[in-house]
Amino acid sequence: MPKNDDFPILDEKPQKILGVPDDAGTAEIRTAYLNKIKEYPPEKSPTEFERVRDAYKILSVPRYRTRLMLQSADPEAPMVTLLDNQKQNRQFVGPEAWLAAMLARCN
Amino acid sequence: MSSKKNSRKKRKALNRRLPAEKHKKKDAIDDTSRLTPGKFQSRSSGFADEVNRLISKNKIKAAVGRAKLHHKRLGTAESELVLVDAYVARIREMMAKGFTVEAKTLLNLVRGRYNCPDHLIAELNGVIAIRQGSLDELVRPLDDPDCPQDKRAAIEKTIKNELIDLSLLAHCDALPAGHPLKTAALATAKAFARVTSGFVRDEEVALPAVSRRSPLAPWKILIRALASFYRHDDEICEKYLNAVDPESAPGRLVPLIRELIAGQSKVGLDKSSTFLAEKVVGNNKTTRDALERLDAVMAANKPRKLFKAVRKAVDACEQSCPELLVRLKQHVSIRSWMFDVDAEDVSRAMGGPSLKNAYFWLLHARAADIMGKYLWACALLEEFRKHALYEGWFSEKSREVSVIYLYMVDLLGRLPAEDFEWLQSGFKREFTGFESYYHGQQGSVLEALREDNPSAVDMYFLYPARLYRLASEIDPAADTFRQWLEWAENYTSHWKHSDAVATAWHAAIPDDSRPLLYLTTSAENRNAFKKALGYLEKAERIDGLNPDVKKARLRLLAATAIRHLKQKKTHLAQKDLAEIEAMPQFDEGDRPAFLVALKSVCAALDGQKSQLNRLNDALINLLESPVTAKVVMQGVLRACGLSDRQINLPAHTKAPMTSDDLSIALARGCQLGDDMGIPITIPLAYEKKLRNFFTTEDSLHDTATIRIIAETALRNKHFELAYAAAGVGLVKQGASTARFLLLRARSLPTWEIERQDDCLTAAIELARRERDLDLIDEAIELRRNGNRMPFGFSLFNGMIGEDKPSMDAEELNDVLEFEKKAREYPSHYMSDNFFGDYDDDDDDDEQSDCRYCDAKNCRDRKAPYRPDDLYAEEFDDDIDDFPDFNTLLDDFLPDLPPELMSLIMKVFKKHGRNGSFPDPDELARKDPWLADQLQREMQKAETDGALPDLGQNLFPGRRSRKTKRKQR
Repeated sequence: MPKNDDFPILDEKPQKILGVPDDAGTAEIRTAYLNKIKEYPPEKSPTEFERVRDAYKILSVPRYRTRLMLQSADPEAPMVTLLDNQKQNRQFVGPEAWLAAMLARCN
Repeated sequence: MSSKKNSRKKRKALNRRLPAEKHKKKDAIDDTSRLTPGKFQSRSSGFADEVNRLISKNKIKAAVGRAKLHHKRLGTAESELVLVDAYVARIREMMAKGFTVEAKTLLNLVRGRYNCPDHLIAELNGVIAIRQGSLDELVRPLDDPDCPQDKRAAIEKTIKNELIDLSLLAHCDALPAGHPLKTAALATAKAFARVTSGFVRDEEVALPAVSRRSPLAPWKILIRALASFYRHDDEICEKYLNAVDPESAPGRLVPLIRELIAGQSKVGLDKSSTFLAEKVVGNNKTTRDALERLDAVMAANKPRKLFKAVRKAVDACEQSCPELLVRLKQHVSIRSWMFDVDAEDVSRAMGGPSLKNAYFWLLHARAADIMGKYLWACALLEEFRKHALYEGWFSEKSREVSVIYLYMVDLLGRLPAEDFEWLQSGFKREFTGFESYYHGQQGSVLEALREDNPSAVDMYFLYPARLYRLASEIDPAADTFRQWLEWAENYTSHWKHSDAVATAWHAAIPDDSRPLLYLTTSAENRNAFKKALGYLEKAERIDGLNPDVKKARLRLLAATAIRHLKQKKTHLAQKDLAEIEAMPQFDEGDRPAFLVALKSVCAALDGQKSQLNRLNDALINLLESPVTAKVVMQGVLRACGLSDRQINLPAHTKAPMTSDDLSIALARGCQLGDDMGIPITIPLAYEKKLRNFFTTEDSLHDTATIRIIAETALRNKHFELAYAAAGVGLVKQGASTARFLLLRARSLPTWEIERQDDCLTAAIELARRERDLDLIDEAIELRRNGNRMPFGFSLFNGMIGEDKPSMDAEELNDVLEFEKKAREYPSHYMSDNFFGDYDDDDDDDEQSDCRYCDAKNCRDRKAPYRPDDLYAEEFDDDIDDFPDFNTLLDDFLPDLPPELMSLIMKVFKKHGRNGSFPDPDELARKDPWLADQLQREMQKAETDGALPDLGQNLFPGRRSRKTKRKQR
């Protein structure tokens, strides 16, 4: 039967390997990739380098990214992970609360 | 009374002791005065260290007490300085506790009694002034142009480190209106208020009035950090936080902001910080607890408690994490669907239905996929596509949509081939759409379905061909066409369908030689050599250097020569052979030997005996073994439609051959046959000999040879030989271990399901480590579908979370060790488990030993059970589809050997038309290998007496069309 093309196989989510959020854009992915490559140069950490390169390959090819997107919804995940996956909504509370915390810390 | 007495006694005793103590202290001071300067300094610095230690431990009162005592004893300038330091610490402590007035009084007292350094007094006065809200005294000198630089620096430092309320500075009277510091303070205060109240652009809080050297510079950086914090640009925020001076007033917020980013626990924070943290990022502890409870209830499968847990989770989420509510409801709905809980009850518990947006449908489709409801999942994916388009996830003709179609094909491919049409028609009958899901939904959700026609649901998603066409129209990628072509080749009834796909591929990607090569082979198989040549010439123009194209030319010429030899037109064959000989690629490997074999057939047909003998010798010389020469010659003869008797095959060697020599000789022949497209079979005598060799000893030769033998044996249905060869390959270890595990899995009898699965999983694990994607694909395919699934390809092979077969190192080692040791082919059903610790009730039942009946003494129990026998069994269920064959099976099933039965089934499946057996000539042309196998098995069965009259009726041998016409 038909085979996959050269789709890399990873034991972890590519976003996790590159340390980017699931909804990261192309620029963010590229920056993270370049940082990771600096962190794991091929001559020092060849295995990790390959993982990083494969993760980038998956995330940079639109077709592969769509495949990941389609599989990102996990109906069996524990409900509590919804909290972990959620991006914290940061509320604007005005300057007073911030200044009060600063004052308390100055003392 | 007694306690009072006691205390009085103690006091008296203390008073009695005091004069002596006083004398002692005096003496001590006198002693000190008598000390040399060096000794005094060391003593003095010892006291100073003690005081400093106490201050650093925040024991300020004790530090002041010790410093006082020390100063009383020494009375020196140094001891005074130590005492002043202790008092300064005490003043700071009082200010920290908010006792600003008391701190000021103490400062004045200390200032009056001791010599305090001016800068210290100024600094403390400044801090007290800031705390009391009057900055005028502190900042007045800044307006004086003659103010000394160090004084100015001290004031600025105090402002930087202590000023929190910027409006004090912005509105102080001591500085004139328009003073740069006043202006900067005003701008900074406004920027801070803005950044903490709503989203701001960087240019809005640029603060050009605040220079890098300004005491307000840390504020400027903090404001930028906060802007990034609220934008969730945590990386940039961290950069700004690193730049804030930790000693400055804004620097005190840095650790708190870092904690907020990290989402760390708020335990240990002061009251104001806790309040701020809860206001900014919320406190989701209640929600977390409620969700954990819900998870526990779901895991325990307690439907009674489910609704209560759902209600609590939804309430908690609504209060502390309202932004999560929609997602939570969607997940609860889908999980309840998976648990088969009534949707209405769940909806009531949640206080309303979940939102049916694109995410819901995707989640539902994934759930259906996990539950194995593949057709349902396809329908849900279609619903997801519509909503995702409406919500702007992607556009209608985008690559994403193409991937969705391919995902649907993948889902359909997981359905068993034999049930596919039945399941498809059942779904078509029963599926009425998702109307019930949309009750009580928002207008925006319903808007996505605006163009839908509720009376006619388009079920295109049930048809792989339509899905492939849609996917390739949007994204004409070679990979899509390749999958489509392979599907068409295997699961459509006519070659025209496959050719149409290849033609579409060629039209979409004219530079790709693969569709042309396919069309060449297809035309060649239909004996349309002229057409084949036309396609090949096109392919050569596109990619003449491609080895596949070069090889295709050679194979096409060889096929033409064989066709001419079949037709006994040796003069035409001679021309073809001359053309082959002139090709540059002809000289590679053993190809010259193949030409010699064809020339031998020519000579035999022309009756040139001396030439034939000469050619036979040349063949043996070229192949360096009579065994290789014999198998190659046999293969060529069969391809030319001749029997072994029509030509003198190269003589057997008299010298005994070792297993290595024999395996090398056979492997070489098989490899040549593969190269030229001629099926080579291993003669039975050699097969037996090799099997014995492989079972009893380890071959010395390379794994490539063993692999060729194993693969050829599998093609020839010599499972025992393939099994033994795979065992030898496993013993050899090395890079091919995964391949040999796969071959071992393929060679095992079908009833060894668990062992097959273990071998395949181990092969996948090893291949994953070696990054052998082809092998992984092959193993996953076999593991999931075997060869009985319609569109076995999975676009999602190897994806994370996709029924991923995995095995840890220990298990892998166990499997490898077991397979290395297991050299004997399993000849009967084993009730004990692979690892010996598995006790299945089914296995314990002796009656289950037989695959045909429950009889204890059934003869089939002892018969070797071939993998393809299961294939035959599965076909029994579909017997209604083949009415003619039904009778045949009823009459002959008990008598037919399993190998033959399996082959007949395969012929029916692959080439059967409307329940009738295909025309033998057509079969020989379309699938020469299968035809050859069938003929061999029938001959064998006939020799064994296992075939009644059926043979002649079923497969009367190869006849020319002319003969058939005559018979008619």
